[in-house]
Amino acid sequence: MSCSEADLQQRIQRIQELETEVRHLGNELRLTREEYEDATSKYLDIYCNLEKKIGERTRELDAVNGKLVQEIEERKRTEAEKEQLIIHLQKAMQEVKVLSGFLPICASCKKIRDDSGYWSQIEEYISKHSSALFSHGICPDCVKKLYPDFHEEMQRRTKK
Amino acid sequence: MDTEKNPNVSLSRLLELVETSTLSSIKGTVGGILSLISDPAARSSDLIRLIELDPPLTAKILRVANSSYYATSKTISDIQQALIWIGFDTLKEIILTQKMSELYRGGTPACGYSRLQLWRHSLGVALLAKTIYRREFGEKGNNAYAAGLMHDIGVIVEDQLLHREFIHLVRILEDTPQQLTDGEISCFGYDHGLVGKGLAENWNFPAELIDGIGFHHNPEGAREEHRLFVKAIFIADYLMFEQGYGYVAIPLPDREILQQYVRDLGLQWYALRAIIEIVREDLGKIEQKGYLIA
Repeated sequence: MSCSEADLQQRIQRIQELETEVRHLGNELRLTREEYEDATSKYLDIYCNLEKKIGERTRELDAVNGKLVQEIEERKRTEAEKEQLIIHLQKAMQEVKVLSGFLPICASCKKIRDDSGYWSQIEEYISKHSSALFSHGICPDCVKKLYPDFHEEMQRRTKK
Repeated sequence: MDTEKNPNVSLSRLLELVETSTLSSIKGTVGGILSLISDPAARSSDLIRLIELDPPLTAKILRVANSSYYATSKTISDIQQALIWIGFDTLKEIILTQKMSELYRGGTPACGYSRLQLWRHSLGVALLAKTIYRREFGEKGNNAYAAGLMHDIGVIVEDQLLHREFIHLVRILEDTPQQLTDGEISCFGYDHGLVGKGLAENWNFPAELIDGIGFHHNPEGAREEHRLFVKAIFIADYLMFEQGYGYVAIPLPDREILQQYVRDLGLQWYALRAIIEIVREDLGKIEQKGYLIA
């Protein structure tokens, strides 16, 4: 079967077009493969960075966590100390409360009457309700009144 | 604006005005992305850092990445996912396209010219130049895409900063058909290639891109090592105008020049026709889905 010149030219042109299409698609395929490989390597790059970041963040969080545990312990200790202080202060407050307000006292012997109606010596009462301690002595007026001879002797010695 | 009162704004003065105008808002991101495009050792973390400097850009990228144009099977919720699902190179192109599109918003159409038409043309040239590189030369063509997208940046500078004179020029071109560059030289004393080249130099664009922008109407003026690249931009520019993706009424340059550059690049017309068809389909999809201006 013979074909005309025009027909032949048309076929040659079609072959050229098909060759071009194959070449173009070959180039596209190669570039797409390269882009795919590039995307995979970028993905791995991002993934590795993510792993690294997670590791770094975990270490940071562990360090912060350790500090927080330490701080919690310290706060617990401070709380306990504060509670002790509060108890101590409350006790002191109670005592202050007992020694404040009206104290019923005997006009003659100076004994003090407590809540249950018992009369105590003033030094006994104060020692019981405060941290004050008593040291006994004698004042000049009482010396004159209780020991007049001794008082006179002391006066004479002073004048000399 | 003082430039509207003064029709004789020198090229250096115009380039100074660019730096104080809203045009310069894209400088940082575009400069950064161009460095990444021309650096084969660029890392994904560099790209992520660059995007993080421009928060509104992240939202735009995610919107485009999730659009049916890219048709990914899952919802992309952050830049890292976008990087994996749509690829490093495509992501760089999206960023460049998004930032460049900011310059082409607004404006009123006049005598067949509009910023939207100019943007449509730029996008067409970018896609055609890139597809020639991919299909014919088996190269990624990222630089060709960037040069195609930005080759007419000088036109948008004239439109925005010398608006009155530029619209006057567009009217002259409609009444007296002539080359755009000739009309610009008689109107301003310089053409958009020179304006774009000056801007690209001031913004430290890669040398290949500077030549692509500056000499896309005259590839012979480019440095020898970039001449074939610039010829590819010339071919893409010419063919997009021829295919109805122009932006102003001008006669096309002598077709013999185009034929010569096609031969210089070792391209066959049947191969170019197949590539044009692919780009027309792509542009049709972009327009149909309303992604022309983001």
